[in-house]
Amino acid sequence: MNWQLWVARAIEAFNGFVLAYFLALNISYILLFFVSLREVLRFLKHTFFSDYQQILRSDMTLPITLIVPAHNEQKTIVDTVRSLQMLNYSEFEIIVVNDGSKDETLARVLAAYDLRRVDRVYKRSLPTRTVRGLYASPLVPNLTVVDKEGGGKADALNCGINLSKYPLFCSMDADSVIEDDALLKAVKPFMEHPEETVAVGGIVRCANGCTITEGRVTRIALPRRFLPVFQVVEYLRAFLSGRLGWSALHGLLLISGAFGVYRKQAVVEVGGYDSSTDTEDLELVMALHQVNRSEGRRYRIVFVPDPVCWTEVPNTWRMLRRQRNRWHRGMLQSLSRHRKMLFNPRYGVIGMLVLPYFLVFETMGPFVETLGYISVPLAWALGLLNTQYLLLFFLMAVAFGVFLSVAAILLEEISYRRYPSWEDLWKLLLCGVLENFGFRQLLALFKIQAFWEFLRGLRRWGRLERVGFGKAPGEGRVSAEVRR
Amino acid sequence: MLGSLFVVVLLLTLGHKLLVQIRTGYERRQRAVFLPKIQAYINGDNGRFATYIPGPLGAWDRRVVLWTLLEQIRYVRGRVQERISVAFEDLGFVEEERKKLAHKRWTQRVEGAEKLGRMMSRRPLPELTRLMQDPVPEVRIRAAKALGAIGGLEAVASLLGALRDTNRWSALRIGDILGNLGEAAVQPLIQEFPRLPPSARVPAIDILGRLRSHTAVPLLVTLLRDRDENARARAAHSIGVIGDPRGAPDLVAALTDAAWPVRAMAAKALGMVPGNAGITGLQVALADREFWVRSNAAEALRLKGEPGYKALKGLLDGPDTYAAQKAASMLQEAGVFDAYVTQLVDGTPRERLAARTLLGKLVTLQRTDLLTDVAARHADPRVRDAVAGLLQPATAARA
Repeated sequence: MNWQLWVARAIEAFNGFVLAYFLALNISYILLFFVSLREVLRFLKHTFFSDYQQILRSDMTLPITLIVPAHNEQKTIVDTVRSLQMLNYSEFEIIVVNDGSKDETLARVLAAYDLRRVDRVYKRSLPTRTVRGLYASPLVPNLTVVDKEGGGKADALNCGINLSKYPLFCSMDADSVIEDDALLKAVKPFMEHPEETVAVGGIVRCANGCTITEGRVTRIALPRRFLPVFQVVEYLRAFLSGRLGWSALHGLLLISGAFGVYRKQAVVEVGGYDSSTDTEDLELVMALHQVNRSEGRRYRIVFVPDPVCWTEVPNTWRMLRRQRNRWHRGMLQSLSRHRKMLFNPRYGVIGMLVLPYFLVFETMGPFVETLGYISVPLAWALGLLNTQYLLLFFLMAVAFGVFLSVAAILLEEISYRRYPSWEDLWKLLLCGVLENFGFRQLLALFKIQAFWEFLRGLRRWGRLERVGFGKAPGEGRVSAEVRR
Repeated sequence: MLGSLFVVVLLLTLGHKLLVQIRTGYERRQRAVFLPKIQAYINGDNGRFATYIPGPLGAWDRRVVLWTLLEQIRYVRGRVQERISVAFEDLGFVEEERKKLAHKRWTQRVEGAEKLGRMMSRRPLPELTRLMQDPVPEVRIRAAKALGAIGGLEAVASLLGALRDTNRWSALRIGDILGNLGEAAVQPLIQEFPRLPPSARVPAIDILGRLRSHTAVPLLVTLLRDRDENARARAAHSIGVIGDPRGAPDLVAALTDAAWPVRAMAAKALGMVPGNAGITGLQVALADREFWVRSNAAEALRLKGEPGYKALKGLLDGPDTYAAQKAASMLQEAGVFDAYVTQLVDGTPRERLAARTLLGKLVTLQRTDLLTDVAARHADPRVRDAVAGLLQPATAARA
């Protein structure tokens, strides 16, 4: 047997592996989709007659602390606090943590609410960078502003946890918009299973294209540019047919940092947010799984598809690359840190299903996918593969993706219908097809770059130049950090 | 195969959208047609529903009428509400929902119970009462809710039965239903309390607080000495929510409970009870070894207003450092020092002296954040200078 034959056989074997890989990936996606479909229908039936006003008017409702980490958010911080003050919830406090901002974030919020520096005695349950001052006002008793040395979002959240006085806290971004009833909906699992529920995540939707007035979404529409619409489809797929499915299987691994409600005691127990990873939200949820599973406790980390948080997504490829780099790097860091759960039956579905899935499909996926896109057409061009095989590969790699995107749009359509116009539906469907030709492949490349950076031990925060809601590039928000 | 799946999903998406749009548009138009007629029926003195909207109605029209009537019944009581209930019966909606109560799928039973509760017809009372034995807790809660809405006090026993499905969400909803029944629900709950299973006691205590009835206070006071610390803590909270000063001495006693959650709740409750009772106890609680007890005690003293502030001021140079620090912090947040800061320059000699003495205590405690802020930012330069003068010893000490 000569070497050409060996090479041909190796290429053939690799291509067979790529095909099998895509088949397994797509089967898992489809299974997850059907689990999600069932869960959406179940959720809609359960909540059809839910009267959230009962939660609002009851004094048995668990009070919540809203923690708003703010780093250079001078343009939005006052509007954000104002919109939070108007949330439908009976008892809550807002803690704005100014995390070493270089702009006028602190000055603006102090001036807007006439806050004065106070000496507050609080319990330092979690270590944080030095707190420079606490500000409060008797006129707005549920608002506290903390000024501290910059330490990143995780450190700011830990500081907020230290100062919070309620049993639940909600982590959010200073530039995100939470819908009025979101807290009522997010707190329901804590009321239904008070002893077991440790964290609840809500859905994050893209605010680009929407009109936001005084911190509230007043008109929902898709953005004009294709890149953010690709992300709208991607978010629908990730939240409605990904996280919802994992949540139903008790394997939810991520609660978005833009909106999540946690039981404070459980978070303090795992040491709070970890500043040493790039994605503190993922790291926290993994730590909660690890501690609770190793202690053999009954616990629940759930995703609720209804409480909505709106956030701005990157408008340019450069920003998208930075954001995805950080997300993927963070995932690799957390996977590596919690590797002892991998294939460990003690950790149940997390150890035996979710983490292996993330390892095989999320970590290896970008490599297999990219190499497949190169090797299969190359082998076909060299006459090593027949056309049927090539078509089968594209069916697995691309057509399945189109199917899954359209399926996610169907889920949205039968459940929440946030995009009411026909124009928006056509645009979503079109982007659901187009995103599989270039967008997805580029995301795989970003992930490969992130893997390389992870191996080199690089850590950096992507910085997003915010366009601002409903504004042209160059106007509005600038330099807010990209946060998941 | 994938192609056909894709086509199916695509057609489902588009078809669903189309159907929803057609239906929504139709319902909007029909609602505009039906609403004046429905209101004429509701406000009319006599005549059956069919004389206002003659039948038979198509499926979509029936849906429009159903939801319009359900919407109207939410806001009315008495004779008008009875006329709507009669309309539900005449149109066969009550019968339709009654059938759902025996459906094998629990979601259907829930829907039936929920709608019947809103329709307020007394016809399905026997079926709803039987539904209280349903194996699914959610069905039992909905049935209890419907009974509460329809049957008034007859439903209290059923509602209390539903308390056995204990979680906070169920308790909250039952509390809400009983709350709507008002004072009349209190006595049956008090009588039923000793027979409740252990798991239902805490939600029942919360509900007694939610009902805000002074009749429940003696039972709650007794529960402050219960064996279960959770029950003691919730009883303290409920006394606070009711705000009956008769409970204050027992709450003060609870400030020395062995379990800190009970002490913390007692402190919080004392803040909610009107009057000055418990101020001395709260002063003592400021020196408690548990952070949350101190925190709640300080907050409670703040809620007491001037007498509470006086008590907090008295603690500033007391022997207990924890209490002094907490008092300083709470007085700052309550804005109590603002007046003293102004008196440093504008007050009578006596007021100036009092202000210097009080603010001096803050400096001694090294709680100078507020004063530093005033010294830097106050509008009046005389105040800035006076406060800076007060701060000099602290600045020198830090240097």
